Amino acid sequence: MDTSLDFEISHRPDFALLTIRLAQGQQVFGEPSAMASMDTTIHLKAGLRGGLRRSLGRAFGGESLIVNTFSAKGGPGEVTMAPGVAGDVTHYKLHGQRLMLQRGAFVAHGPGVDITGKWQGARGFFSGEGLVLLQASGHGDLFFNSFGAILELDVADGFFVDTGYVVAFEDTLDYRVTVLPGLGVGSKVKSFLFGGEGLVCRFSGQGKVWIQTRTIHPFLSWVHPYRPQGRGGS
Amino acid sequence: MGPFDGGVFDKRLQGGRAGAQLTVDAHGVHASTTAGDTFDVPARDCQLELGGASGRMWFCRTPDRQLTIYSEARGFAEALASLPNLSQPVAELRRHRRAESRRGVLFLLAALGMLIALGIAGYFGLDYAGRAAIEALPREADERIGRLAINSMDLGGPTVHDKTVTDAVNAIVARLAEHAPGDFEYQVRVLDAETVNAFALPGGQIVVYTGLIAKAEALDEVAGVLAHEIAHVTQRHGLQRIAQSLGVAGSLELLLGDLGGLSAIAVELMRAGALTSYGRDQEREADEQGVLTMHASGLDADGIARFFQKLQKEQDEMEIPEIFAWMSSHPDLDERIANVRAQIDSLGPVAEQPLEIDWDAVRRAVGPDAEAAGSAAEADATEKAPEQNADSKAGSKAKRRKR
Repeated sequence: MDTSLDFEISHRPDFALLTIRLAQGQQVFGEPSAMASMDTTIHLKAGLRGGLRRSLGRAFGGESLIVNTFSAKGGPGEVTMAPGVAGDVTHYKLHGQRLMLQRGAFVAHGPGVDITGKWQGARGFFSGEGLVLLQASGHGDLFFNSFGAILELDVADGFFVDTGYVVAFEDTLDYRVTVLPGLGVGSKVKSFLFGGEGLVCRFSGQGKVWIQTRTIHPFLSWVHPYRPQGRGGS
Repeated sequence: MGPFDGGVFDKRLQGGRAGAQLTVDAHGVHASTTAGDTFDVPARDCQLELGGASGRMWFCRTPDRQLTIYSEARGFAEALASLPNLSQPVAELRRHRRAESRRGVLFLLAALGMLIALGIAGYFGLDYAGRAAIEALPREADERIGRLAINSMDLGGPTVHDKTVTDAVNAIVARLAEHAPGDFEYQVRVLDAETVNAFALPGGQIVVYTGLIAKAEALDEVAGVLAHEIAHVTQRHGLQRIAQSLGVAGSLELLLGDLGGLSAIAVELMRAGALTSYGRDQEREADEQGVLTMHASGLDADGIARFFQKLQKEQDEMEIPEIFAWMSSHPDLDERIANVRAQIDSLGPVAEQPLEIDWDAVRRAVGPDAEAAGSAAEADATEKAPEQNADSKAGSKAKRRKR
C-alpha cells in the first residue's frame, strides 16, 4: 500500500506552513500544538505513540511525550501545521534508512515512521545540543523544521558544521564533536574562548546533512535587552 | 544469512539511496530495496568500513565506490566475518573501534578530572587570595577596625584607674610587645568586672577584666594570657575572620582595596560577637605564638599552661559558671595544656628576667575588698551598679564573653 502523503510546503523559507491533504482513512502524526487549521472531516486524537519507551525517548530528545494523530475519518480533508519558530519545513522520505534530528526539529510524519530518542553520550554532552537526539526510522514521510532557512548538503569526504546549525543528518554519517582542526593548542583555546567558533560537528562518511541558516541562541541574546523588566514581586 | 535491515547507496537510485533488506552468503552481500531493485557486492570486492552516527554501522563498498551496502543490524558483522576474506578486516576494524572508544573514555575522564581540579583550585585560590589581600593590607586597616570595634562595643564594666593595676598590666604588655613579631602599638584597658576574661581586637586594642587578674595567682599566668591575645593581634586573626565571612565578592572588593566595605563588615561581625571568637586553628596558632613571645620575653611560658589548668579544675568542679568566659571559646584545655608544655620542652631553658611587680598587691587592688581599701577604682563604683543590673544586656554580654 502506498503510504505517501499528498503535501505542500508554502511560505518558505521563513514562515513555512505545511499543508497535508489526507485521503479518506489516511493518517498523519504531528507534534502537539503544531496544528494551525484542519477540516471538519479530520479527527484529532492525542496519545503516546509507539509505546512508553519511544515516547520517553522523544521526551528526552526535546519533543513532547504526546503525538497528535490526525485521521481523515469523515472523508478527505486538509490539515495545516506550523512549527513554533520562524523558519523552514523540509520533507524527507524514509525508505528504511534512518535520520537523526536535532532536538525540537520534528514537525510531523506519516504512517510507517517511528520517532524516538537516541542517546549520544559524550558527543551530546560536548556539543551542548543535548544528550539525546531524535531518530526517525521506517518507511514514509517525515517533516522537520529549522530556525531560518534550511540547506541540504551532501557529505562525501568530511565536513564541519557548528553544533548549533545542525538540523538533521543521515545516520550513515559518522559524526564527532571537536574543535576546529589545524590550529595550535593556543590558537584553539583562543578561537574557542574569543572567536565564538567553539565546538563543531565533524561529519565523515557518506550521507546528507541539513543545516539551518540561523541559530536560536544568538537571536535570543539579541532580543533579550528589549524585554520588559519584570515587575517587582511577580 | 539474513535478512538484515540496512540500506544502499547507488547513483541509479532515486536520491542516490534507499533502505533495503540485506542477505549475506558465500558469494557476497545482497540487497533488495522496497521498490524491488537488487544490488550485489561480491565478497572478494567488498571493502569494509565501520562508522555511521552510532559508530557501529558496517559499510561494504565496491572498489570504485559506486555501490555501498550498509547495515548496523545485529548479526550483520558476524555474517560478514563468516566470509573467508572478510573475517580479518572485521576483526581489525573492531579492534580499531574499541581502541578509539577507550581513548574517548580516557579523554572524557581527563576532561572531567580537569574540571574538578579547576573547581577546587578556584575555591582554594580565592581563599588564598583573600588571605593574601589581608596580608597586604596596611596596619592602619587593623587599627581602624579595632578602634571602630571598641567604640561600638558594650565593654561590660567601668575602666580601672588604679595605678597599681594598670601599671602592672602595662608593664607586662610592654615587655611582651617588645618581643612579639610585628610592630603594633598596644592599648590596654583594665575593666572592673567579675568575668574571667581578656580579649584583643585587631590593631592592638587589648581588654583585661579584673576577674581574670584576681583569678591568676602569679604574674606569669596573666602574662601568658596576654601573650596569647597579643598573638591574635600580630597574626591578624581578626581580619582573617572578616576575610572568611566576606565570601567571593567581598574578597574581590578587598583585593581592589575597598576598605569602606570592610569596616562595615567588621562592625556587623562585632555585633554578632564574631570578631573576637576565633577558630580552633587560630587559637592553636595564638597559643604557639604566645609561648614563643613569653619565652623570648624571659617570662615563664608555663604560666599559660598553669592558667589553663586552673580553668580546667574550676570547669570540672562546677557547672560552667558564667564568669569563666575566657575558656568558653577555648575547648579541649587538656590538649592545649599538653601542646603548650610540649612546645616549652622543645624550646629549652628560658633565661628568666622576671618583671619587678608585686603581684600580690595587684591582686589585692582588684580583690573584693579593693573598694573598702580605698583604691582608685572608687570613682567608677557608681557606674558599676547600673551595669550589673542591666539584665537586658545579658545576651550581648554572653556573646562578647567569648573573648
